[in-house]
Amino acid sequence: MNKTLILAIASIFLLVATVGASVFIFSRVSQVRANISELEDEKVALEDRLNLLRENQASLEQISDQTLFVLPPGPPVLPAVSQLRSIAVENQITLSELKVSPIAAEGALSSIEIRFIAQGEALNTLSFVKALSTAAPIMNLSKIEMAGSQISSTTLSEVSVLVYHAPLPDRLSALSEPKLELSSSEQSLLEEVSGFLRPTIGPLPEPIQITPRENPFQ
Amino acid sequence: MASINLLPKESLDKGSSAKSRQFFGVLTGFLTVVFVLIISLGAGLVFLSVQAAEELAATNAALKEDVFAIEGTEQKLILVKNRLGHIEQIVSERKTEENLGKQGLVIDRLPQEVELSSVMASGRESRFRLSIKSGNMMEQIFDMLGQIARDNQTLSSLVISEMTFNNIFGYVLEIEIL
Repeated sequence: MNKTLILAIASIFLLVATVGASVFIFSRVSQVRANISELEDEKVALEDRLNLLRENQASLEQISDQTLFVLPPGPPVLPAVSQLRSIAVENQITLSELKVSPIAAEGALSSIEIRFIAQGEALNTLSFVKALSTAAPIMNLSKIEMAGSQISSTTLSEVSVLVYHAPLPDRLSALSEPKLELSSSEQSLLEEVSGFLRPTIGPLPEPIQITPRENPFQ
Repeated sequence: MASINLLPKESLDKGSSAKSRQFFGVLTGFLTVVFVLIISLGAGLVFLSVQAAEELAATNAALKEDVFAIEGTEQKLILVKNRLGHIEQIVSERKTEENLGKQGLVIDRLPQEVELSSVMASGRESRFRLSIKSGNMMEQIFDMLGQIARDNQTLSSLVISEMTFNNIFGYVLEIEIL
């Protein structure tokens, strides 16, 4: 009778231990599997990022330069004026009374307004303002008011353009962020931007830091 | 009449106890085998999974180092994406250019005899004036305007807002196009 009881207790103990061990092992394996799944996702994201960066390493140098010319970090007054003048010359237009005024920033994007008088044939003036839309730095035509002269075919136009600039991004995206490649709309915009006419004057170099000379009498 | 079992009571108990002992013995043996199997299979599975996770973590660490090594390229890509985002916004705000483009639908098709005397375009307004010498030419211009209005679904309005005549300039038409 005692032996039977001992065997019965041993059976119950083994049953409980088997169920307990199964539950523990199952939960542990599930935990490790979930961890593996996360690591695999991270691996795929990292491999994609690495492939993307390696594939575009050479072209990105040129592309980033061009996008910086199109939308510089600081107010591009000189490049914009230079660009206006060279496009005006191409279209046989004379520019005068150039005035530059800053505009309050809208979010991350800032702009300056350049107003001027353009003198020339009506159709030349229209092709001049049309050409501004594919010039770097990027500018939007704010207003044009053109009036013809009664004694010649020359017209006088009051033109106002907004030239944009934006600060550089200050952080890299997280490594786990999966989508780093350019979307199809960004690709087509990039193709468009690549054809923008660069100004003959680039952004000004950083001023040289002059360290004050030591005072020998102190 | 009640049936009487002549066998002694102890022998009956002994038989049932032996069966119980045999049953629990078999059950204990079976459960022991199952327990050992589960423990060994489970431990193996956990070991293999942990090892796979460690290998993946090591691979990812190496990949991260490779990404850090070309961080400059990543910075350029982020810069390009940032610039393109802003440029997209700027291009979407080109209302004056859009209105001038609509004016171009008419201006580009003007006969040489017709003179473009003024143009005004901004984000909200878009109008231009034409000087037309003869009445016949006026008819041609009206036909052309009607055709342009029919063919271009992008136009929201094409209005002749003013029409005057004087002996020097002939007919003067002011057209608002949006």
